[in-house]
Amino acid sequence: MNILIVGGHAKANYLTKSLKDSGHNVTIVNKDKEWCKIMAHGYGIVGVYGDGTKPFVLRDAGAIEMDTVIALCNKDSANLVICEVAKKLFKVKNTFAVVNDPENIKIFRKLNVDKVISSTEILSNMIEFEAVIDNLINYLPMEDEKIILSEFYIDARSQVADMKIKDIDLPDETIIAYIIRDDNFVICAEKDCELKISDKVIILCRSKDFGKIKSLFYWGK
Amino acid sequence: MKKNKKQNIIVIGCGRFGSTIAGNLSDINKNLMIVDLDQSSFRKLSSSYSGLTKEGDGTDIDLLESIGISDADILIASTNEDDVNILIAQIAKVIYNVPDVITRMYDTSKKITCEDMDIHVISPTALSIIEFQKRIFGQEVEF
Repeated sequence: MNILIVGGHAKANYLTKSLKDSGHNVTIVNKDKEWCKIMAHGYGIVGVYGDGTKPFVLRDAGAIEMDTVIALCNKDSANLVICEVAKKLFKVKNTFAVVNDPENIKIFRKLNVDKVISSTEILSNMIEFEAVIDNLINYLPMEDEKIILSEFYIDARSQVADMKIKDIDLPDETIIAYIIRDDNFVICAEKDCELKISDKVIILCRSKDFGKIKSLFYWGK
Repeated sequence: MKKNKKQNIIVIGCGRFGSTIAGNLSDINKNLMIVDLDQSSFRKLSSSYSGLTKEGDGTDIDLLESIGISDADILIASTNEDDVNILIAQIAKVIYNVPDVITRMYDTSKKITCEDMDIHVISPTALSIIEFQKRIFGQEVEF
């Protein structure tokens, strides 16, 4: 894939490396001339010096040929303009923006930016859940936080330890997708599977039901 | 246009442009609210300005809601940054359905970001070019 990374220093550096390693064609645009040179020489990629919110700069960087544009600038507004210019003027299929203000996630999605992430939000989710609930391993809100994908560790103190799935009082429309035991996947097709201590469980639920799930799988209150 | 109700107008960005337009509109009996990051910008408002002022970030939806963007009839985005104006205008139009959204944009090439969105873009650059061309060619030339 042809991928254009606009703005960012450390993030752009890391992304460039990992995307190049997986065989993608990376081009970068940056306002920092020296840094552009370093990146271009270091990775053997095209580095375009300029303000990526300006359509002519994106054109010079070959935006029309790009499959994906990733906007990593510090300003949320700049990232919106980059994604919109890429999409509307250069017909780029996938646009990806990083935002500071978590409120901007839903705004940018409404404005047709394909993928929006906020490090502030990820950090606050991690603090909120991982610090409070230490047997919650993963927490991933999806579809504007309508659905939550979570992974719990079954502790001797969990209510559900040694219970069969059919006997657990799960909220409707909640799916226990997998049980991971001794690092092997156990697909949970039947309701007769028993949850053992030190299992890990992958659960999909509606976000309104997450409180209930927490109270079942978490060993605290 | 509503005849009986006073129009609610929000102006974001109290520079020379924002402060002047807010002053003029407040003189013709409109409900005005002007927002700027910097409290001291409000000194630019004329002494006859009778609207409200709010210090803060005009791209923050909590702030926009607190100043009643849902009831606004007109929103004018006139900060000194094109990108910020574009973001504010699109929030006003797409999220809050403000009937009349006007944004200032220096860089005409960014106009495409607001295309097909029912946002009025006013470009000082384009307007100057038209005026200059009128002088030079003695007639109106399409820009």
